[in-house]
Amino acid sequence: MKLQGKSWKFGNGLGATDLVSSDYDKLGMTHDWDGCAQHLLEKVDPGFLGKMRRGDILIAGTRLGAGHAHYYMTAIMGCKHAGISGILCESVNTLFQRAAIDAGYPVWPLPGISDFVRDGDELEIDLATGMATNKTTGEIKQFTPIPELIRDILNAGNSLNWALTLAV
Amino acid sequence: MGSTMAAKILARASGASSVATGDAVVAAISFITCLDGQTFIDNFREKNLKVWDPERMIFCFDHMFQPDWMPVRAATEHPKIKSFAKEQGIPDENIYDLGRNGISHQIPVEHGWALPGTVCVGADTQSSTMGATNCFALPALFGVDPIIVSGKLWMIVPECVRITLTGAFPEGVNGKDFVYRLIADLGEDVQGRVIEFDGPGVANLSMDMRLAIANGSVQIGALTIIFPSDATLLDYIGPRAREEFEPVQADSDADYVAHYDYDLSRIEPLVAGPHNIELVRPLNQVTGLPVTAANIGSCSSGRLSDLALAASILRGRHVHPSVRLVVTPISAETYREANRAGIIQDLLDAGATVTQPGCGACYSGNLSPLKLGDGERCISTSVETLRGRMGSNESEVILANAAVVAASAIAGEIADPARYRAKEKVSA
Repeated sequence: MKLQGKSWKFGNGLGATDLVSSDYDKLGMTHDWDGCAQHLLEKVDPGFLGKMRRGDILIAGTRLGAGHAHYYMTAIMGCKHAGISGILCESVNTLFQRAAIDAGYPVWPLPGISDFVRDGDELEIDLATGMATNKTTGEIKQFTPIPELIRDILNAGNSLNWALTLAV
Repeated sequence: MGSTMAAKILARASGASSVATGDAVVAAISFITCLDGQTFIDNFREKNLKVWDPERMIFCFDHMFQPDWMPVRAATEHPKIKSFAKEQGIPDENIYDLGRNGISHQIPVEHGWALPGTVCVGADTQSSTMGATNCFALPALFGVDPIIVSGKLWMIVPECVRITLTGAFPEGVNGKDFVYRLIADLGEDVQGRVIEFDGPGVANLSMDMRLAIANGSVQIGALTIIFPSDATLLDYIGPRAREEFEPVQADSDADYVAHYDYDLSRIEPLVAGPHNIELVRPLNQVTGLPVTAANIGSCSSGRLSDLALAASILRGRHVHPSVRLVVTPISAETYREANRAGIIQDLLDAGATVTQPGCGACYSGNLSPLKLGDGERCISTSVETLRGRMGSNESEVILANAAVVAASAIAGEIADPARYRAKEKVSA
């Protein structure tokens, strides 16, 4: 389970409505995820969609996903449909992380990640082993692997597919 | 190292003798409570999925969503929920429709679903409210489908923070003020963690106060909030409980990552907002700001003690002619109790509009006559102060407790209820 792409760094407190503004609540509520993707980070970094490529990774600081849960899925699906392969951060709002994992989308805290990459560095990370390579600097670092249970959910595509495999 | 209440509940629910922070567990839930705007029903029908235990699923008609653009508007969603219940074998009594309805995390407390020592799931942002009953209450706005098909949820055993309470709230201060105090003080230190309360101050908190405090979990930034079990809880929940339960207590050497002390007698009336709930200020910094709308209700308020507090200020007085005051009881049961106690009469006599129970004006998509227009300022007891939350993007919502909202509705400006209480004492 590998993520590979350019790292785009954002600071502490990157909230759901920073990822996709609450101006686009209606797009989220009607599940127009491609529509949400067209406004990704619009107010935080207006040129972002022009410079990112599919597979790129967002690197956030502490308190990723703060704010009211009403806006979580709009933000998560906006990232996913824009082609961002996952969000790594220093710390994350547990409910935001939960919503992402349930949707089969990797959002995971890896303390130290924001010191490991600079904005624009090429990052490769294997979530199963925790082994990360900064391909721009050549540096290698071992992070804590994400638990097998979570990898099972991500590998199943979402938590519904995973739950259907549980004995009831 | 001993166990927190959260760890004990998750260990019990996952069939483990103990669990440690950071463990990934699969825990059995005791029931799930759903609001009246669901996205999972189409998915269940398309994939022919079955509810794991239809007797342990309830629906509470509370938001009554109205806008045509919402796929879950009440006119179509309520009948859809009822037909889904029939298909799945969910008992009629599990559908809390008009006459028995109320907010989806209040009904399970009033009707004895949310029991001490269990894992409870609510499909609403504010479902942590149920943690007032010594349960692990997970707000699962998204990702409820896997929980409903399996009766289980995945969980990384969370870090826990301990808050020790002493003292009792001064007159006119309630759970909402304490939530704003915690939002202002704790911030990053509780992000994604569970807050567990203990200490002698807990005994001075009524169930209404505990529910209002547990309600603030998401706004404080915590995963959920758990109150300990005590005589107040057991007296309340005992006669209501639908099955046997076993409370949990934290071990004296439990594994907490942080510890705070609060003296409740030092909590003062606070306001939050506009636009940002982290903008918390003492009431006296905003008194005098004109208001044209006042709202008492929502899951962070709207309980019997909130309505009684408002009525104590409004009794024998009148809402200012430039203000519309809308009151929404949290549930049908609360509405009836308030009516029996004469509280509803006092509110109506003062010029309040009292609506059907539920979420009320808290979100502009709900069924409520209170919608804010351009340039309006509303003083509200509700949950959120986000721009546009109660109507126009060019309006303001400032959050406060029910006494402050009642006093402001009389004055036509944000007002300290003390000025009305003082007159009452002189005349008495």
